[in-house]
Amino acid sequence: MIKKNELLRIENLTVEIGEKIVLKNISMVINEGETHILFGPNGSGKSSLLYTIMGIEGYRILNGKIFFRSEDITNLSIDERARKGIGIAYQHPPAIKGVRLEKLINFIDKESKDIVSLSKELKMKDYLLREVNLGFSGGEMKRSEILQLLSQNPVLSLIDEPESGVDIENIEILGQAIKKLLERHLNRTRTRSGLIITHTGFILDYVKADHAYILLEGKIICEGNPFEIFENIQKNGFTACKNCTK
Amino acid sequence: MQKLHEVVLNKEDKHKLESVGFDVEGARSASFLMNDDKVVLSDVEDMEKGLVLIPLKKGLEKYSWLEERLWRLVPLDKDEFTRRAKDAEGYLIYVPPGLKIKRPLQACFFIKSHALEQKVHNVIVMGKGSSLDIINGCATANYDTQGMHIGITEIYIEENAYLTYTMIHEWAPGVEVRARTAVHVKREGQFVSNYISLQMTSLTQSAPQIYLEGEGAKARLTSLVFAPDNAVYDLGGSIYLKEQNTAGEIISRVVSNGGRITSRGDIIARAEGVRGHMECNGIILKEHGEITAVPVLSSSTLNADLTHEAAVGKISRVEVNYLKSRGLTEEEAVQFIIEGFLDTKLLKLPQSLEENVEKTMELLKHSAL
Ligand SMILES: Nc1ncnc2c1ncn2[C@@H]1O[C@H](COP(=O)(O)OP(=O)(O)OP(=O)(O)O)[C@@H](O)[C@H]1O
Ligand SMILES: [Mg+2]
Repeated sequence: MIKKNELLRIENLTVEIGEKIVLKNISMVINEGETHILFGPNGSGKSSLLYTIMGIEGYRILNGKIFFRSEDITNLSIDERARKGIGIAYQHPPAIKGVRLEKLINFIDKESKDIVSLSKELKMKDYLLREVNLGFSGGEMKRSEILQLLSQNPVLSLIDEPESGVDIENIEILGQAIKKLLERHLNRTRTRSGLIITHTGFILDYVKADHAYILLEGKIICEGNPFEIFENIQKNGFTACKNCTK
Repeated sequence: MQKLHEVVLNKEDKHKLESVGFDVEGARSASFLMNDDKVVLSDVEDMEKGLVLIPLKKGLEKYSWLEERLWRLVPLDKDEFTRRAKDAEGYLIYVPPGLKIKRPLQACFFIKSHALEQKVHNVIVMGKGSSLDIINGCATANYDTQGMHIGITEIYIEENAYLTYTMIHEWAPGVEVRARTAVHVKREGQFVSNYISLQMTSLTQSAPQIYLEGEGAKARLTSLVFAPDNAVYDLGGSIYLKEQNTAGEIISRVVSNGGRITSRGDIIARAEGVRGHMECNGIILKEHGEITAVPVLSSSTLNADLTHEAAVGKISRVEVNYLKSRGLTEEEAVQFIIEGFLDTKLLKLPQSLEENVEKTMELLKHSAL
């Protein structure tokens, strides 16, 4: 077997926000080209994990380390992590008043990609002159996030609930875009990786994920094959997983 | 008096004038330029239509009605600065009834000499049903110029007339500005003021007084201000809603990058069925910066609708983090947000000036940030 290149390694991560410990002793490894899925009930700490990997202020690491391509990034700033190839699509992105989406995307894009056709693929062309996320509907916001990720083209995409509040047609559009973002249409030479939060499992139809976790009260209580885990959640709920063999 | 194409400007002056929206190539209905205390240009292209733009003193010789309009809205003895401007030169703009001027009129007040006290007195009379867009620029030739600008502006807007008045300031650290502006608006008339200043000034004081004297008259004042270290701005504006169905709006976006800004606004309702709205948003970027928002709403009627929003604080960390996670540095993220905050879209610019002001603003933001 060929040894895969390790992209992200999280070791014994414990994180506090405010007075609350939101992540407890989390460990995971994502290899190059892999996509992992994060399941878990509301408030279990899924978004917090993505924010901590991104380095967002306020998520205090009490213990543990984060490595990206073997480099310890635990204390790097957000933008340093972004420039190393980590990107995020937010669950609830803020609006940036007065800044046109087009201006931001052109700034993000370092490879002179064809922004217009990218935005067409995501049905976002008519929104390029709108202010970033200002007055965007739920679905528009999700498409705008994925469009920004596509223009950034990160090595590791952290994607927070891309499907929530999205209609069937737009789920198809988003699914295809994420598939492209993570190079899931390629079989061998995949270099892009992802960590995706989902409640509905829709993304599994587009991205044949490699691995999944269930987070409960800040702890990984179960991990394994995404399809099996998802089926189990649907049948027995999250808590039943507590007893699954980890 | 020279014509626009005859005015010879050196490269730096030309650049300065352009940076406050003065279009030297002249896609304008009329142009006026005052260097220090001398009028060097007063040129009307749309003359045949009856548009008047002449130096104030000439206007006094030519139009007998002007005398009684002088010092009527701004009292001569209002304060020491108005008194100092007693015999000041400036412009008279008169738009005859029914005349709608499409191309903007431009005026610029330029301080070239050191330690000069530039005193300006302008009068604008908008005849019934007329309309005009004015772009006014103020600048100093050199950044190290010391000086003072006292500006008296009296504006009369008759029934159904419409005036937009866009002002761009680009002063210097040693320049003090005392603007005294008052506007009378009659029935269904409208006054729109846009104010932009992103540069240093030792003190800029401006608080136009708008009197909506006729039913259905409207006024809107918008300002975008950036105060670098040591800059002091005292800005305000009062709108008196004196007749039924009048409406006033005061919008300001101010950023302190070390400077001090007081942003006042008064909307005073004295008639039934009036509406007033005020918004003051401020961002403080640096320690020692200070923003004071003083919104005042006053009503003495049962049926007035007055609202205000004010928010002063630091830049949103959520927004900065969002942009940083896309790869922007802290500085780039802050610049993005501030540029967006001072968006010219907030102004109510006439179409003919949109592009020009947007471009000017880009340049100003670039040098300010
Ligand atoms: N700033 C904060 N202060 C205090 N508690 C916080 C803060 N931010 C998040 N939390 C708490 O941390 C916990 C985890 O939140 P997180 O957003 O990571 O959940 P999630 O798994 O993404 O949930 P959802 O499925 O609803 O999106 C929640 O209980 C939340 O209330
Ligand atoms: Mg979440």
